[in-house]
Amino acid sequence: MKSIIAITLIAFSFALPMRGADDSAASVLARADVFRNPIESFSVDIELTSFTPDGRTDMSRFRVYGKGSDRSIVEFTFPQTEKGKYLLMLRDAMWIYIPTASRPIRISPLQRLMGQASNGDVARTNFSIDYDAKSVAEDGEAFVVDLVAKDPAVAYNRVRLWIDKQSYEPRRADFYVVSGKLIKRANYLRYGTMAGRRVVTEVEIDDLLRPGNRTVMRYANLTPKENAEKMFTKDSLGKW
Amino acid sequence: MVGTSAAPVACISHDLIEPPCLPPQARTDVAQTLLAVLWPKRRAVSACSLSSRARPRTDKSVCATTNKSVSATSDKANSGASNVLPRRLLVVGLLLALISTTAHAEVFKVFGSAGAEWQLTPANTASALNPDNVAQLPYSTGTSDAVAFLDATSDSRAWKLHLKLRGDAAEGGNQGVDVGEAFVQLNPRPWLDVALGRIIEKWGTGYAWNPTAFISPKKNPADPTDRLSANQGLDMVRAALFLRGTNVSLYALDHGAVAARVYRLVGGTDVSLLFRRDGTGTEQGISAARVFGDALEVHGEVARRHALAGGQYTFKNDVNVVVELYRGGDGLDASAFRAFRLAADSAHDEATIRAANAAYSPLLMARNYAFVRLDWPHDKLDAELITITNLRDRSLLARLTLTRKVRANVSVYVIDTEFAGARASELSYMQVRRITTAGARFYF
Repeated sequence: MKSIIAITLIAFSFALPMRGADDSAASVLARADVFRNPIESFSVDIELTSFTPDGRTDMSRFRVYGKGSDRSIVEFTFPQTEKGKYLLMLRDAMWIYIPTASRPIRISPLQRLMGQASNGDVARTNFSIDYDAKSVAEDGEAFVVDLVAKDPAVAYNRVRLWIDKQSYEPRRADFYVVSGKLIKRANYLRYGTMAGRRVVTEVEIDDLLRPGNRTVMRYANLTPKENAEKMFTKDSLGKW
Repeated sequence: MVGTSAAPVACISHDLIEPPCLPPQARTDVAQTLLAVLWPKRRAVSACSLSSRARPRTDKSVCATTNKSVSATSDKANSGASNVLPRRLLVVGLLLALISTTAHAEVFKVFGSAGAEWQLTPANTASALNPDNVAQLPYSTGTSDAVAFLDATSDSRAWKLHLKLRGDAAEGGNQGVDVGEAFVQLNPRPWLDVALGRIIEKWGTGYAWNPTAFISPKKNPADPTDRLSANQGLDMVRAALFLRGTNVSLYALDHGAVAARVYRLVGGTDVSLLFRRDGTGTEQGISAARVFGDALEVHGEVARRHALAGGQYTFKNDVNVVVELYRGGDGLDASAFRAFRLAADSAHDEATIRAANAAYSPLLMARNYAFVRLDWPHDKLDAELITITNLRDRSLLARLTLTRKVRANVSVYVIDTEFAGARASELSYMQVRRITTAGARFYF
């Protein structure tokens, strides 16, 4: 099972209330992406707990620094074996910094990053940049928005989103690969207030390729933070 | 009897034969502690098993016991008794600064690890370099070590203090503490960082070799990630400028050496231009890396007489494969290696065996090598296989590592390094048949 930091960040995109008369697919997505980053420059703590069918659990913690819509740094804070590592994401490009290596290493999105997440999971956090909204439909109390990847390199070729009609909070997201196979499902379980904003605080990811494997992500300490521009450069990674 | 001499015939380190051809000062800090792993009672003296022409370009150093003087480049900063005192004062000063400013630091991080491991090294008595184990290589050894990283940073990130400390103890009571890094970094402008102290800089994009690593610690291709964090930095002043997507790093090192690196992401490709100059000459190089799709990364480096090309691919099941081809122009050509073989095969007394060992430097006895790394993470078990092949004689080093995470902060591992090759091939001369390591590591 792969847990997904990215999907948890995406949750922020849809976590704030949105209302409006224009409910076309593009506008719903655009308005949703207004909340892609609830704060222009921020830090947030994320805890991932993965569960397997045989009852085993594994936990990881990260602090994520974000700026703008497509720049973020993931600092590994737990377990201890991962401390000191950083992941830099600049749109499509990713580097990882490992203390023993003392330099950022270019990595591919699919390359395994940690026990439960791939780089692609972490990196693909912005729907408007990576996806086109193709259609919107209604399913009971939710809008259902179909998103198609603009670039075939994107980890999930298609995403289907369920957004609450009243609050515009995301309720569920299904992630499909190129073959059309549904491989992951995110359920947005809890919302709360952080930094004066209503945001998602708990998301559950089901690995549909391996039934019974799931990951729960919890958010805390969302804080406005003036992250310097140079933090988000390869050469600065691990040095600030 | 060769082995009864003061200096050993050959030197072995953690995961390979790691020639201890470091300058005297560095040797007291690093190489001797490494040697202590296998040669705990002999860390004060060591033989250099590197020939001058086979010595890696990033380690053009002074071999104390063989009196082979080779001008130093990257290790110059660590050599020379006249620099010892100022350097130590600098380190002590930085330590005091770190301690005194910790109270004012708004972000203070300490992390690291401690471990113990045991190593079996059966002698390869079939090797012409170690008949009847004349080198007296011990069959088993044990060592323990700890490494700590300390960071103190102001919340505004206007300054940062960084320290990397490593200590180890080996059988026989030898122990030591190294300051791998100790520097203060100031950020006077949003586009400028200035750092002063001992810093590990690693240049290049290669996994096993870095031809452009002009100011970096020497990399062991059999242990490219420096799993025990034994690398030590150089003393320097570094200014890093962040200029509209271009990063320019300028370095002032000991002995008037200067270096520079310019980096930019060009159309999705990492491109770095690298330069180093000292009294012995100038080196230039270029490195690049690019990702294609979501699974393939391709990289390369070129410097004078050295080049590397490689890539890595990640499969859907998380298996990661790294493949690299390396050419080192200062490795031995076929005729030089033939001369080595003749000398080694005809060695019969202490002097000739010692000379043959001094001329033997594994993975530097040819000019073209291939590197393959296969990593298979599976739940809490990680399996890694590394092979390094001499493309001239097809002799091979293979290292298998199995790592099991038993708790969030505890790992256990087994590493086995085997050598294979036809008679008179490069790795058939290895003084040991294999190196088997078992250990445990605690992270904090």
